[in-house]
Order: sequence, then C-alpha cells, then structure tokens
Amino acid sequence: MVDALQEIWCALASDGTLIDLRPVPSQCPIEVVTPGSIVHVGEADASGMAADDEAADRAIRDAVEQGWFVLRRDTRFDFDFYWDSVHEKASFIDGSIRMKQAVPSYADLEKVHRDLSTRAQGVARIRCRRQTMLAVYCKASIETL
Amino acid sequence: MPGELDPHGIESSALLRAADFNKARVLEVGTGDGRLAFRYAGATAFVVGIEPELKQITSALEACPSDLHQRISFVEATALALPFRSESFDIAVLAWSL
Repeated sequence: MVDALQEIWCALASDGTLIDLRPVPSQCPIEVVTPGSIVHVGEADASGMAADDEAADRAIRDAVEQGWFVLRRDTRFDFDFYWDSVHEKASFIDGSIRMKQAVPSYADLEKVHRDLSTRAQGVARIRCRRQTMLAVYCKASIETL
Repeated sequence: MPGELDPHGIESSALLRAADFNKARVLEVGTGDGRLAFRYAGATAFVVGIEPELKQITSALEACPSDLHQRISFVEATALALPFRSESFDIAVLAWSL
C-alpha cells in the first residue's frame, strides 16, 4: 500500500490533492424507511475487513511521516444503501466481503418490512447506513521533503 | 447491482467539497463500475479510472453516460504500477481502494 501511495505521489502535480475515501469498519444500522417513518430493525456487521483497514491506516500514516503528503482535513458521513426487498438486500450482503448480516434474521426483517410496506401502501425500503471517511491530503513539495 | 447506493448524493457532495474539481485532471484508483466517477466527471478536464478487474471496466464502459464519453477513460491497472507520466494529475481519489 505504501508503494501505491508513492506511485500516486509521483503521478500528482506539485500542488496535487489526494483524497482517501473509504468505509469505516463498524456496525451499520438496518432500518425500514417509509414516507412517514424510519424503523430501526437491527445491525449489519461491517468489520469484515478490519485488518485491511488497519493496514490502509498504517500505509497512509507512513506516507505522511515520510513527508509525501500533508493531511488537510478528515471528515465522516453516512453512506446509504437502499433495497426494495429483503431478497435484494440479502443478495448484496451475501456477496459482500466487507459486510455481513448481524441481527435481525432475514426472516424477521422480512416480517417487519412486509408489515410496514402494507401500512405504507407498498412504499417501504430497507436502508443500511454505513459510516464513511473522507480524508484530504496535499502533496508535499520538494522543499518540504 | 440491485438496490440503490447513496441516492441523495452525500458521498459525491462530500467529494466535491474536498477539492476543486473544476477543470481538474483526476485519477480515480479502484474505479469499479464507474459509479462514483460518473457523479463528478462533468466538472473535470478528464477522469482516468484505473481498476484491476476487466469485468468491472466492461461494466463501467457500458454504464458510462454518453455525455461523459469524451471525459472519462478506464484503464486496467493497479496503483502499484501506474502507467502515467509524473505529475499527470491534479487530484487522485482512492475510491474505497486503499
């Protein structure tokens, strides 16, 4: 990863900007959203690649310590996934290396989704809200190095 | 992929606030199916998305909006060996890829 950051340093112009955008390992709330309500029904476990995330943190820290980049700012925001059915959500989660279903079971989620969907004339979507980080670095100048 | 990702554009808004993309030369590392690049490419001089998986590049090319064809290109590559000259880009975006 550090080698990749060095390559990127070379490819960037002297006043270039590096943006590190990636999800944060965490528990992600699963909700059923209708026009009039948001009902929390459980969590997805998104800590599946914690070791990779730690390696990424270490690589960017090394790149900063080596003087290639200077951190300008670091923010976090929620990244939303929406699905129209439990089947859609299950397909996504089961195919993801980063996330896995924690609670509730798909059967329980299906029941809540069906009930709320009936009450909301069919307009109910499943939402998983994932915390995401965005860190901005500027390329360090030759003088800085 | 079924479902909808970031329908309110929170991610792309955060990205566009992070740097000046206007007329910028942008390298997106780990561009995947181009989902993120399509949202900001319109303001840039050009975007080069690199992605190691050819299947993803094919998806990105198929999904690329016609008005962005001249502005985005996709290259099969990894950041470990970038096939570009030094100082070719103003912004590099690590798109869920570090």
